Amino acid sequence: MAKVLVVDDDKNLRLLYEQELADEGHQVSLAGSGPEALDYLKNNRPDLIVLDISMPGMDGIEALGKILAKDKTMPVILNTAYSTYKDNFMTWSADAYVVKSGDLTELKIKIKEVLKSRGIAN
Amino acid sequence: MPEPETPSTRILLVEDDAATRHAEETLLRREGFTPVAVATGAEALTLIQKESFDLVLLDLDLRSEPGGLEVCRSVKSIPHLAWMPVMFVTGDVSAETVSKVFEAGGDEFVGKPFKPEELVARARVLVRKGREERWLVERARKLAEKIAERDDELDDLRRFAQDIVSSLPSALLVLDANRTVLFANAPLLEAVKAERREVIGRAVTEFVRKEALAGPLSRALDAAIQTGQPSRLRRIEDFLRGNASRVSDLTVAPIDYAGVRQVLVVIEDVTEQARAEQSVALERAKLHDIVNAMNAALCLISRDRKIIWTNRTFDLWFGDAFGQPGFTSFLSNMARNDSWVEPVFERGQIQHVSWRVFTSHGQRRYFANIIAPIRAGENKRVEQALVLTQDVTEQETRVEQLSLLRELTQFLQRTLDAERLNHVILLCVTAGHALGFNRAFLFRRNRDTNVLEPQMAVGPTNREEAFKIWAELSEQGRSLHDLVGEVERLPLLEPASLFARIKHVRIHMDDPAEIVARTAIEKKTQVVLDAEHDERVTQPFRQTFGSKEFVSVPMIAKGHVVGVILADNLYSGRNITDDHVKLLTLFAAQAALAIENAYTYAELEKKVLELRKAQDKVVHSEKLAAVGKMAAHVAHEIRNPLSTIGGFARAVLKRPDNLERVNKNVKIIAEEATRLENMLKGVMDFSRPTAPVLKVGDLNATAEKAFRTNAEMLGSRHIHSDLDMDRSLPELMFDENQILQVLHNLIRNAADSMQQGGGLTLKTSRNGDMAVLSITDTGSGIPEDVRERIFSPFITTKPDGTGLGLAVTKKIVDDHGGRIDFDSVVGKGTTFRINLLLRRAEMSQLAPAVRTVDMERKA
Repeated sequence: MAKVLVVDDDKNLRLLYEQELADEGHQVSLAGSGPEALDYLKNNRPDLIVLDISMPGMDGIEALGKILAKDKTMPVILNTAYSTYKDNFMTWSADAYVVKSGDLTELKIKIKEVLKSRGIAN
Repeated sequence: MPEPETPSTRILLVEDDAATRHAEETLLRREGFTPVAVATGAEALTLIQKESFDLVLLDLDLRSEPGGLEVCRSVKSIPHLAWMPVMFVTGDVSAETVSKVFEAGGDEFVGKPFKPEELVARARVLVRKGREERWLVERARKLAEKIAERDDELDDLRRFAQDIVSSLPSALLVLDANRTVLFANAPLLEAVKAERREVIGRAVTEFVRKEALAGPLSRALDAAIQTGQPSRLRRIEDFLRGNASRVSDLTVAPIDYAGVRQVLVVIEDVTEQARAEQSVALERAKLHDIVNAMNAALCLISRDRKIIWTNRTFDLWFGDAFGQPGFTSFLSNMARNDSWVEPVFERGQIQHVSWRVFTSHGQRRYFANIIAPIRAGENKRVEQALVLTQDVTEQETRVEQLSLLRELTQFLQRTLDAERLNHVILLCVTAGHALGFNRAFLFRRNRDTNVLEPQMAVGPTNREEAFKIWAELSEQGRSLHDLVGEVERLPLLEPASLFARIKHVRIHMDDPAEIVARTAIEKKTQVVLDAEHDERVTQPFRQTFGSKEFVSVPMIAKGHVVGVILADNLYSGRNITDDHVKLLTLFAAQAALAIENAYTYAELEKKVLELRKAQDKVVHSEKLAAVGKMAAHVAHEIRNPLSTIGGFARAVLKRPDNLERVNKNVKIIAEEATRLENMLKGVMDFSRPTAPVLKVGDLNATAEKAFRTNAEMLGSRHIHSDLDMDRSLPELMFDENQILQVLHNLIRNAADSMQQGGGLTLKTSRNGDMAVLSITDTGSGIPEDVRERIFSPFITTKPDGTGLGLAVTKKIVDDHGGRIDFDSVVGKGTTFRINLLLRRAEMSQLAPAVRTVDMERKA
């Protein structure tokens, strides 16, 4: 059981993550944009953040920088439609990188791995 | 004159013996005198000073002092009474007494006792004598006074004369008959730089130059001295010694003084006048020479339009005897065109006029005239007009030729078709108006083979044909302008028979033996006057062309030889003059430029074609790139909905029993499927846009339709909407479906920018010849960094945008020939405006745009 923040500009995709990750036993919070996520982080400290890269306005990479600037230890999984974002070295600072898919198995596994490596009980 | 005794004859009687006194008094009164008697000498002397008397009768033996002699002496010593006769009466008549009486100045004496008759007679004589003497004395005195007065006058006159002489600016000299100087005034002394004493009494030769004296001056002096003949000598140079380079006027006049003949010489220094006169004369002579020598005719015309003076050139040109034909033409020109002369006389204006006249030899001459006013008299009326006439025939001819050349050149530069250009060039060379050669051949350099190839030939093939052509030309009387104009319209000529003769000739540029090649190699015009004997001409050339006299001109453009023009006068035999050669060379340079232009143009066309092909390729690859970009975009855009659909589908599969959740998930799946469909439609719209189908319609009605369709959506988003229609908007051509799509896109964008609600206005208006549709919202505005790219495809700020809405919108507006623009303030809102052309007649101009779209679709 962990607190997970999902950041994605696609409303229905957020709903999907909320439903599926809740099924996994996580306590899921949602944010529709980078600024919204940063706002949330002012008063909350999730165990892990699933962060979409391609967002209008502040994109995921920029948001990642800001999140890590505040808390270097914050576990972040980047989640996007493109695989080419791996080329941006900024993405290396993320704990994991998952390409979006209708099958959330990979995402779920990565979440478990990251939480485990950070010593957070599932 | 003595007067008779009258009572006015007064006698002073001096007798101290009373009885004697009384007797004498009585006696004298009785005899008609007026006696005044006194007893003493003192009384007598007092009285004689106060009153006037004619005689003093004095007793010599007065007992009181002064005595008789003393009284007499006193009277006689008074100057104005010196004449007064004094007669003594005495008892002593001794010789001693008598001599005393006369010594004292007495005039007579009578001894006592006297006889009365004797006393009276003596008194009478004495009175008369006294009066006579008195008259004489008076007269002498008056004469003396008069003489004194006259002396004064003479003094004045002398002074006056001296003043005149000394104040005269002229030098004066008085000579005697021996030419010795009697008098010289100050200016003369000054002129000869001498003192008076060095001049007076000397011979005139001492200070007058011998040469001056030898000539007319000597004769004049002789004439004055011998015959009293005065004379005047003008402009005598260096007359006085020591007074070099002065010029004088002399007046030589005889004067007779005291019966002696003398000569007065007046010398006026006129050096300044003489010099002025001399320079005026010089100037006049110079001017006269210029006026006569100048290569322009000059004449003066009086107010009654008569020629009153002409210069030599005028006489030469218009006949030196008035009335000759040339002159008549000058006059008749002047008379016929009095409007030229009239402003000169009436308003004092300078006139410039040109005349074209035919001389008696039938030659055409051009004259340029300047007519200038000449004023005279007190009121400065224009009394004469000066006409300056210049022969400008040569200039005019040149100007005519040059303007013709310019015209030809302009025409040449307009002609870009090579064949036609060749024809025009040769036509210009042979047309009689400018160059007028009989035949002309054009060689062009082949840039690849470096061979001069014949391109065209113009001219008759034989003499008969030549005459025929000339006759036709002169009958038609067509100007070169007409000919050239026709070339533009005429179909190109078949290769003429003249051309057939030379078409196989090939002249290699590296063969200087051939004159055409030499022209090109040396880049120099070659003139051949006798082809038979000119070593520059080869035998084959003679045979082919047959010209005896010809000119070969290089056509040089930008330093390179592009060809050679060959021209001759085979049939007319007219000599090729320097002028013709010059003109042809000039023309060839222009022709070369035209050929170069045509060549460049052809090259350019080729290049443009190549470029178009290359561009097509580029466009094609660009299209591929766009498709790739679109594919990536689409891949990205459909990843989200696909992930959502897949995810929820799996969730449903996993938990089909939770019906509520299944319901919710399936609903989302359906939503996402719709989203995918819409996206696909947008992609299709952009990648395969349809040409607008233009129909006349009411833009207001279309706007209202779009407004109604979206009203519900806007209401649900708390957006207040307004419609503002310009009802006067006329109908116009547009594709209703496409404009509806544009409006839907813009309304939806507006609504998306107002997440918290707001206001939207859809408005129609007219701006000149444009109908304007505007959509204004109170939304978040367009961020500055996006504005430039807003109409580019795949740009979106929206979470679920395709990035195609505005791209498609712009494409539709462009296809309509319209314009889309916007104003936006971040945080305040945005207005989009679609401008569509109102004029239906202009709609046909849309056709090219539509065709472009068609072509793109085919591609």
